[in-house]
Amino acid sequence: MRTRRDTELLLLIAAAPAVVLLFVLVHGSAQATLSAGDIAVPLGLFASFLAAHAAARVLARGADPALLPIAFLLTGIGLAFITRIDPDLAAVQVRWVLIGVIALVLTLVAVPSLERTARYKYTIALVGLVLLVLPAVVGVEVNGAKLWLRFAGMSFQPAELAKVLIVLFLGGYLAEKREVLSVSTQRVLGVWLPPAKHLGPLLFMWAVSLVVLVAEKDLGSSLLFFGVFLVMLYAATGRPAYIGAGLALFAAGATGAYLLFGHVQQRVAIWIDPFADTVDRGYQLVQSLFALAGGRLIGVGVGNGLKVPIPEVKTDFIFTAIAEELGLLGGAALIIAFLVLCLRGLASATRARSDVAALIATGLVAVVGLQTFVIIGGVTRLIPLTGITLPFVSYGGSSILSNFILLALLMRVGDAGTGAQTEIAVSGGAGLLGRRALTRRLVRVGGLVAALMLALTVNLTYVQVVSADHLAAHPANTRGLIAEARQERGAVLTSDGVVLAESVPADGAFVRRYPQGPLAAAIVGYHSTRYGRTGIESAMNEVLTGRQHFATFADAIEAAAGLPVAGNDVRLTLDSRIQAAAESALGGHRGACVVLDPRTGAVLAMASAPSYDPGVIDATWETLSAESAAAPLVNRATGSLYAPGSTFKVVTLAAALASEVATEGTTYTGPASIDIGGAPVTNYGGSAYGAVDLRKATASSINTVFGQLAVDLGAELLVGQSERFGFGAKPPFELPVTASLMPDPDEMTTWETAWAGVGQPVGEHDSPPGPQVTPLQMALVASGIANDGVVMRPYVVASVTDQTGHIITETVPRAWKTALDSATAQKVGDIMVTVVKSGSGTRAAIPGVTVAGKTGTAEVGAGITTHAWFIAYAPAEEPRVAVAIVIENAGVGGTVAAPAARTVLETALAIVR
Amino acid sequence: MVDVALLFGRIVLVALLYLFLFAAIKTGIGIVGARQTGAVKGLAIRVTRGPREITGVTIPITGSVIIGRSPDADLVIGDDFVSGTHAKLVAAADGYTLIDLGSTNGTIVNGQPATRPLQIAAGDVIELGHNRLEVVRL
Repeated sequence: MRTRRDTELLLLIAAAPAVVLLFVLVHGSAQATLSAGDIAVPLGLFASFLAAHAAARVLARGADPALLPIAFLLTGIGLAFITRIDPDLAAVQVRWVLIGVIALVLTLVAVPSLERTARYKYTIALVGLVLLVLPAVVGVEVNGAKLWLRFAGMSFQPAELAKVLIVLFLGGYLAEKREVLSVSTQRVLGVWLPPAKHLGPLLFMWAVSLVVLVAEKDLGSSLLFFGVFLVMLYAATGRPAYIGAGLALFAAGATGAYLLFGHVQQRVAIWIDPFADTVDRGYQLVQSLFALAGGRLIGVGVGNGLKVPIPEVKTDFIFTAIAEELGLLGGAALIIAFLVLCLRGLASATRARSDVAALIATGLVAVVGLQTFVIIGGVTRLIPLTGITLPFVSYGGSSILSNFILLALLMRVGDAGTGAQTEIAVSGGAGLLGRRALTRRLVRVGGLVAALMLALTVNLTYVQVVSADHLAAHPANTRGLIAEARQERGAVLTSDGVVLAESVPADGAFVRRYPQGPLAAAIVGYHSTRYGRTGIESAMNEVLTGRQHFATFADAIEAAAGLPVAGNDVRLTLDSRIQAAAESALGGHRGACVVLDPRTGAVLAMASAPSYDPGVIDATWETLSAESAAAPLVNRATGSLYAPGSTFKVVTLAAALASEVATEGTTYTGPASIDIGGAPVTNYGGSAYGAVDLRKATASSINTVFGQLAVDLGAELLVGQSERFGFGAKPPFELPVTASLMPDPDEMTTWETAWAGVGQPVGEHDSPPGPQVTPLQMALVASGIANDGVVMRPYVVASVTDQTGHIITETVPRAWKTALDSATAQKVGDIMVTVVKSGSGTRAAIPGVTVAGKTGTAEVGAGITTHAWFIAYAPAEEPRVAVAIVIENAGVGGTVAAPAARTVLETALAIVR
Repeated sequence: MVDVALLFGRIVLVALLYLFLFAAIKTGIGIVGARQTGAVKGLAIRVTRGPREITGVTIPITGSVIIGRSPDADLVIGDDFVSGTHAKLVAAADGYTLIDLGSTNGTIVNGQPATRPLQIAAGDVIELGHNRLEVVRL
């Protein structure tokens, strides 16, 4: 069996590669070349710990073998990150670590027996208290806390040393008093309490911690001292009531401090909502959270983090730097290292020679454990932030020095430990302390430490993984934008190769250009560091930034390594010429035009007017988003709901033919006005017709006939048919889409059903009045009829290619809905041909091409000019193009929208084969 | 290429960290507890009569086992008849011994008051007032 010191040596050797590798990574990321000098520091550090190990072979042969190696690992990680943050500070820290190692050896020499040292407990307590309170008297205030002593150009934080001295005092004191403290004589509020005179120390420590809190404004140390005291009190007496009473006292004190002192209130306010003030008070914590979120699971890589400076990153926030650059895996490893250190310390306590030694060890473990919890919990927003160092890791001479002294004392406890077979020596006149009784208590203390570390890890997981996307997308988080500016974003192109958006290099970064200005702005969207993203820029962001669909395996690795990866290009189904035709067809009016290939669902053009130039979005934002601007930033084609007017009659007609409620030859009378369900249905313009069949009624768009037909059909069949065209559902599309609406058939009155069949929403009930449609939905109706009743899934992204044009992914056309059987679709289409040949849509006729269409004139209110609609597809025999156009407040569909649609159809038919 | 090497280095680093922590956790130290070690093996005391919360509890005798009312005792008997630290059982190389720690009301072993350290063996009955402990073989 190996001796403990041999094990220690092996563990030191096991920790060395990690420490050396970390230094290599720090230097490698900074200068890309390595020299032998770069690993001199970690090797020197290793050598000094080997020296400490050699000293332990002589001075503390029985000490726990894991303590020194874990301290080596923590010191090494800390030193590496201080080097990475500021190499000059690292040189100072190296000196302090060497002094610390010397202090460790000296402590082992100077304290051969803790029991003997603890006899001077009152002297030690006096020194500790003076150190603790001194800064309040002659100290200098730094960052709102008075913690520092300055003399001869050196600054020293005496509280760091005071915590070790106070643990020594408490160990001696509590060992002596533990019997009287554990006897219960009186009952207060159902809790047995010891005699009042023995409550003195509890109240005294409480007072001291409050003095620290109030006079030195040091919440962290105050919490730490009182917490350590409570843990030691519990270990000494085994009475949980003390913990309860102590916590109640601390809560009362803390509440008082909260009410009385502005800086405490501010700390709590920042904790509750750090995002309320991200530029000033909450800045530090918010940036810490953003950095952690950037780290995610495996970190951004050593040297790649800290793009936004965090104040105090070398001391209080060093954990943030580590967890950002090494990720959750690295951060959790650090927390586990502290947990193991604490548990090894408690293991030493259980086999201690005396009650004094056991209590001192417990107190030292509590110092390390609570300090770790307070600072890591603070920077990860588990608890309000209080400035305190992370043991062994943070920059700071006084902290390093006292941690090494603490380590030496823990090693001494283990060295002097007598083990399970021997009774615990007791101090003074105190009674026996059973080793099992002590072990029971220490197991609970260990459980507490483990619970705290688990809470840290769970919270860290939440910040770095669960809420990482949310934090990354936070408007105040400029990390992503800084990274994005360095990255070449992919281009957006049309199917005919016109570049709609691209990144061009400028001053080492990239800027976004939109060479075609407002062309297809509704589809492409904008990309602004101030106002975010819309359209394809938003929907395909992951592709454009190269984060999804890595072009090569090498790209995937480079992205994981934190290198900016060139984005991939998005090729749209849009054709720039058809798009231009669609935009000019709107003729300066507000409105929208959608052109689809009915065979595939590919969007050939999608226009929304008014449009805007995404290239100057930052400069024009105020104007564009002004109330008077008619919402140019809204994509009307997918996002606005219109009354479809008579274009909806093709849905009514399709429902009638499909359900065989009527045929094209079924006749109705078509008076100018007719009462249905107790209210009038009227023809547009007041035209009156005699008995007409459905073909004629469709061609002439007779409302009174379609009102009667809709009632004959019933609301159920009408709504059912519209849903088969896609109403009531959001079409699956790359961009955000609004669903077109129909009412709940059960709520529709007869009169409403009649008007619905005509395409005018008039209902007033819980479900929305209908029909209300997006231009995209009406284009889908036209293309569904054109494509033998099958509505194809609309899509605008044809493919994603890498920068050389090599296709990475390609969209495959898929059917979305089956609206009609093929025969019914033919019949409806045939009637739509009549509309253009001899009905209301003659202005859409193209010589030599059979166009099927339907006009619409949507009433939008008394005295307001109607919206002009037209939906069409062509050629009717073998449709290649389907179109829907709505021109707001432009007049009658057949007069305005039909000729506008014709120009679009002509352009598209010349291009689409 | 450098960055890819750094990524690789980072993954190796995390692996090394966890390997070290695993080794540190696995390293034995002998946590004090109920673990059975030592020269004499196999005796324990079982509470056969006493306060309900400890009735039936069996505690192996290793090192020394302190019996009393105080929370500092290894076997805590919440009974005012029992002194704070009442008696202790000691396991040594040459056998098991019961020592009364100057208790107010005394300890009875097999009906005899323990006025001096007594050797005990399996089957012995220890009484502290109404409380009855039996020495059993594990």
